[in-house]
Amino acid sequence: MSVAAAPPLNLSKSPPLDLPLRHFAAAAAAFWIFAASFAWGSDRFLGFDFQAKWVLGLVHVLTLGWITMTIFGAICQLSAVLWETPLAWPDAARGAWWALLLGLVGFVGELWSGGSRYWIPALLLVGSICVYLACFARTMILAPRLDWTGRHLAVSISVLAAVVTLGLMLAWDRQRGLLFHDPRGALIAHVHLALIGWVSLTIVGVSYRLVAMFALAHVDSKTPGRLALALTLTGLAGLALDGLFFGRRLLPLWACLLAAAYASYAWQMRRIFSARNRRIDPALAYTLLALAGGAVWVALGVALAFGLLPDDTHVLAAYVYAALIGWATPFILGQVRKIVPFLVWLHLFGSRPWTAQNPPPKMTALSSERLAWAEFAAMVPAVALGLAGFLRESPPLLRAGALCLLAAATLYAANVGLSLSYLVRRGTWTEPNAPR
Amino acid sequence: MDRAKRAALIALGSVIDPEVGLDVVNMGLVYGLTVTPTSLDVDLSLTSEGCPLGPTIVRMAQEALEGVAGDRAVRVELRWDPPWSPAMLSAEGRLQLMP
Repeated sequence: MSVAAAPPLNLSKSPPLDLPLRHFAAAAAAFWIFAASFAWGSDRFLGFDFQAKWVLGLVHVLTLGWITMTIFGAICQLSAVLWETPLAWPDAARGAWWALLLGLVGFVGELWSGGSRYWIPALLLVGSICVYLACFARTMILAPRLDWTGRHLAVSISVLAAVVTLGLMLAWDRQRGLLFHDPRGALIAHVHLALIGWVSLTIVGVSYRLVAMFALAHVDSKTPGRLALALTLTGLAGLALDGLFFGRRLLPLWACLLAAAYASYAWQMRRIFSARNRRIDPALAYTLLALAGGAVWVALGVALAFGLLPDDTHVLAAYVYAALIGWATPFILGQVRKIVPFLVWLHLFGSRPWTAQNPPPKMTALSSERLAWAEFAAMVPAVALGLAGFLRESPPLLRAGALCLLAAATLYAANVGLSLSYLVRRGTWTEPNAPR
Repeated sequence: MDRAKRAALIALGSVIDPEVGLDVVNMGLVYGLTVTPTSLDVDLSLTSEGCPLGPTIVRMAQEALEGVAGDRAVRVELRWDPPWSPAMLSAEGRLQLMP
């Protein structure tokens, strides 16, 4: 028998394990802090002033600490898989993580303590995002090719740069009031560039790749997805320019374009789900919940644009809640549930000399599916009750939704912690009675 | 030769994708299997080109085949053409994934 050398495990393109994991761990903590604060002070979300510092701080815990932190961690890891290129400047990305974390803590702390020097940590935040942008842009430039997902990310990362720039201008305008004739229109542009151009385009691009991969679904036609991208970019550009410069005269038109974009995206996802070859697990169930939450978000947006719903604070809060908790959060929960155990597995077991007689453990054994289903069961009412609470201006409903969200965030943090705990109890799986 | 081929397929049937939980034969990842008196060559694919599990799966396949190859030299190579698609799953594999 000739013994050919087994190929070495080539993880040279992957970033150091701590880089994505530190993002996911910090994001889980931010999600829990948001959920706990929301449950504790949900009444303060009804009838709030958009300039209220407590709400403003909490929204940034959610958008930067939870959603953006997770996306950054995912891109750090996925760059090797999606673009076959190692992440450029991983040490800079690690430094940016510290700056993002410290900047966020300082920014929110300053807002909550009533301080006025929040612009100092805000600069740290901006600096950190610029470093991330540079790392991602450099990685994409070095990539041999950008696939469908990569192109979405290229656009979303570019939009993030616009979001940051506009955010700085808004902050300046808040102090000096010189830049924008219509600050509300500028705020609408900023929020939608962030929610649609940054968060949603990232989710959409990643979903084409990851959901299809996890569902073992192969869909040849990308026509609905291409249409969705074209409509999104047109609608978003129109909405942003209209908000910034033209007095929001054509909001119904942009809302219709964006709704059509979402319908096209949902059509593409329907094809993926129709072609799936795996049962619905918590990750796929979360994707379905995100699709439902996204549909509610779009419906609220169209209703607001056409004046079918009053432009009141509680309706706007419901609109943002649908986007962040109904759409983005379930999608992230579903994907990270797969990614974290995958990374832990790869780190612990990827280079061991497994044989068919001594096979490696399954990845599903590194997290609890039961906990994930319990988390999902809490997340569904969190979305529904939260939305109903805002729309009906009902403190009890909102409190119930917030408590469900806290339960979901706690279970999620526990499951992530369970996966990470295997990193500190190495060797468990080499024991003969280890679960398979 | 047929017996050696059958033994190789049985050996590959014990190589499990740790994410999917299915063996590479039922996954449709075995693109080619050639047995000669001196060699045992397998063309293997992965569900996606950048899959980080690739080296682990290739190593497991190599070691499984070495157990049944006798004096033959074992060679496992990755092939990407045609790209793997779920249409390549066996009927049994489909049933295992979606009971």
